[in-house]
Amino acid sequence: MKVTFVRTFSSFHLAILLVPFCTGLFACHSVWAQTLERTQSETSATKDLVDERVSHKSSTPDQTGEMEDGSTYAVKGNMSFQRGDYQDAVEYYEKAIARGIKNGHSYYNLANAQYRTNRLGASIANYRRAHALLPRDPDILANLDLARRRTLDKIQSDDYSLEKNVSKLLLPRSLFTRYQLSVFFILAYITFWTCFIIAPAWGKPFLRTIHLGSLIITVLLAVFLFGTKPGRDGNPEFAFTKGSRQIRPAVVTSTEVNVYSADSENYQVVFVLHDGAEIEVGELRGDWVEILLPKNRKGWVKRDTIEII
Amino acid sequence: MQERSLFPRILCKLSLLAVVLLLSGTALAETDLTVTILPRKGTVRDVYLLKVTVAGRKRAELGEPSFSESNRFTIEPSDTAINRQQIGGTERFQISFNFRLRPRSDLKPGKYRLPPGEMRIGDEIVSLPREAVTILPGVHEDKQSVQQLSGVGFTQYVDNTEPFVGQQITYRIEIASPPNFLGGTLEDSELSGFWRESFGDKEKQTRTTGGVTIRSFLEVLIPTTSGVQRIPERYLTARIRVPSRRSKGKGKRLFGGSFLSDDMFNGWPLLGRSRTLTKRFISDPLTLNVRPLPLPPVANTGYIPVGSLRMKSSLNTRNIKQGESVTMKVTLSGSANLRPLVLRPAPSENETDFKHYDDKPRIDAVVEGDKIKYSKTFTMALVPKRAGNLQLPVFTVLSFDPFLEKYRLLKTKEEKISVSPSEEEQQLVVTTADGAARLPITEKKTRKKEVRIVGEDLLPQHVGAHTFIPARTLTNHMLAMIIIIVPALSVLLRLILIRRQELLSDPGIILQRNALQKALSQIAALESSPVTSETAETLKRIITTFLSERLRTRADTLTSGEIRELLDKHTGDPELSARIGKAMDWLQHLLYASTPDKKPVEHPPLVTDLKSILEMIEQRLSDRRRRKL
Repeated sequence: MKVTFVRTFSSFHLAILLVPFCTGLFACHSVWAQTLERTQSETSATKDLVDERVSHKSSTPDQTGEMEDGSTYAVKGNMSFQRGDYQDAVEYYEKAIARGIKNGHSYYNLANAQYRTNRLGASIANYRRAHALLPRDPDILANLDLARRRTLDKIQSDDYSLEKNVSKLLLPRSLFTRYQLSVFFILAYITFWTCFIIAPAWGKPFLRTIHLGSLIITVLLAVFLFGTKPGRDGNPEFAFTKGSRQIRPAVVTSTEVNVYSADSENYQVVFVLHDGAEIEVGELRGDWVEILLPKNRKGWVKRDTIEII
Repeated sequence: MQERSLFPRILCKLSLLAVVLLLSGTALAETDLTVTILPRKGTVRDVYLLKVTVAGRKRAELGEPSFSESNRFTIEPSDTAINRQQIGGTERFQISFNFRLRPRSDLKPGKYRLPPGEMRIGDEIVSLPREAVTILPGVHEDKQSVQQLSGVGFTQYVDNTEPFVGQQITYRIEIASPPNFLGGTLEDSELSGFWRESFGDKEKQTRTTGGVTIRSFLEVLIPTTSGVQRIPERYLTARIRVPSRRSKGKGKRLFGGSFLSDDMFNGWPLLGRSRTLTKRFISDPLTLNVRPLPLPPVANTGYIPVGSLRMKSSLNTRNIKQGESVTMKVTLSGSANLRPLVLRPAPSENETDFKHYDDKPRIDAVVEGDKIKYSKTFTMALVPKRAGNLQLPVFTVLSFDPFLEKYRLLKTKEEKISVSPSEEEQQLVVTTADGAARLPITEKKTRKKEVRIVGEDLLPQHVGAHTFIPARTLTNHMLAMIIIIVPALSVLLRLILIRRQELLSDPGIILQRNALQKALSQIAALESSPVTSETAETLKRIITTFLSERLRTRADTLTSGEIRELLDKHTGDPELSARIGKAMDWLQHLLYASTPDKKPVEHPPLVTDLKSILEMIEQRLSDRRRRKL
């Protein structure tokens, strides 16, 4: 058996196989890291929601106390929105999302309701969540643009032409959802390995082309899936290192936020941000979070003044 | 000591030489003045080309070269050629002043220098280098004899020696060149009293007749003034290959009659049997009697084209609204020179109905045979001043037909166009429901305005059943599982596939698989033949071969008892082993007990029995293998 293996797998073939293996390992590592991050984030988001519910228990429109499914809340949210009860609509939509109606439309409707209640930062955060799930929806882009135009802070990105040009390569990433890209990746991955199985036995030349093509597509899709992250303004950016992947986009949700030079109010306020400012967050330290802005501007704000996307 | 003092002196001289060379080089680089004579040797009958070339200066910076009077030569100015070159982004001019150098007929053979000459270059008057020309003795060739000797024919002629003023004539220069004609330069000459039109890329035509190549240079001449007009003689400087003097037997050749004296080496110095001569050829001048045009029948102050001419006109539309324009195209085509022609509308009362905007006319000159056909298109936009059915202006051209010797008046068609009122004044007719009453309403249409955005707000909520469907997600665990499991599974399948292929290609297994079929077909071949000792041997061999291949062991040397044991071990069926043992004993008996004079023992069921035994062995082995699996 061993002899057969050595004879059949030439060193060249093994070298070629290393590429998808490495891609797979890299993907596994990314998946693991993202799972951990998401779990932390979701735990904190759920905690926020529970806290919020407790604090607004008296004014919650769900007076019956009956547990309803997410779609019922979504319908109620739509009806409240139509009536002009935007605060109620916000609460219904949040419940619908908490009950599992997590899609681009729910986030979009929630963002619209938040926009109407002048919660600009929260609405931008939810428009961006909606955009991630429905990347080609023109309504989301239009409303996000409208909300962005109402913000007070003008934060200009670093004008590195090389970085901008390289980021153009990530255009396909911004056209598809993560799920769609995952499906494409799996298809290409399976195609590659199927060709690996049948190519030597079948011996058709076109299989070699498919084999190589699927390898290239697999690697590209792996880069799109596991080597990118959403940037501060929502456009995808390359993120191959653990440090770069830990930097995540966020939106200021308080009307005015003092940004301190370190994680305590005893430090100097270095600048002030307003509702809807799109930032990036780095390190988390208790109730404080490090925020990062272009041109190497940094500072610390309280965790509850921003919403991490 | 001497060597020591010599070295600095040589060094000084070399330095001085280098400085002189550098300075002269710099001077030459700025302005390059050369004087050349072609050919450098000739007889008193020849006319030489004297060329004064100045490079690096513009024409305005140069004066005409002048030569002092000489009792040896006559120097006549010929023409000037300006060559402009773009070298590395710098414009560089090379201007050549050409002269005809004629030696006096009584000049004795010898080498003569040019008379002193000078010219202005910039602000300086520069003396011209005095090049020398060698007059050869004893040869007094006239023009005819030169042409006859060399075989080169050089003539010029026109297709009409009595044209009208403005009539197109074809001027042709023909050089009949034999194979020894290597090439040449045709000098240009100024033709006063003619408009010249080039044939473009069809200017040069070549044809071959009887080993002689005839090169024709065509040009169209259009006389501009009447009276006797002269086309001066033309000069051709040609390089001709003539037999070497040595080949006439004078002296010995460097390489004798060896292969090196082959024609292949003709172009090589010292090796060829021929040499190249530069000769000047002169063509006869031509005299034309240019006839004036007769008086025109109508008063015409403009240009009158002479030649055959056609005129046609076209419109882009015949229905327009007031304020719009109609485009009219008038195309004139024919052999007459149309370049100076200007189109004028005939004076008429309707002319005032239109405003007239002319576009730049387009002219094309196309070569047709040995004539140039002109085509000139006038495009104009006519804007009506009022609504209604309006008569378009008529354009006329007076031309002269030289073949009929008559004038012709060409006109555009008289055409009308319908001009409707503009939109502002257009009447709208509203018909009532019963269609009876028709109410004419005059309404001024408002101009369209760009949509102005007066406010902006959110786009609507997303509603519908599809908004309640949660977004599909692929969990990270599932993705990780696929990433890990797929390659592992693939490698496993690949190994199985490889193993299977190996098994399929193993010759022992192939034999094992086909053993029964092979044995049965061999036995079937023996069914019709009687069982003799030969048949018995064959049958025994078939059985032992079957057992060898099927059980992958050597069974050909085994006895019937050993075969029984072997089968008992592999099939586990003692009855079957006993049957095969019995059959083998029978065969053994047939093989050794039978004699030639005795009749063979009849055992008809033996062959059939053997077939069933072999099938049963196969069956038992397959069952046993299946049970093992």
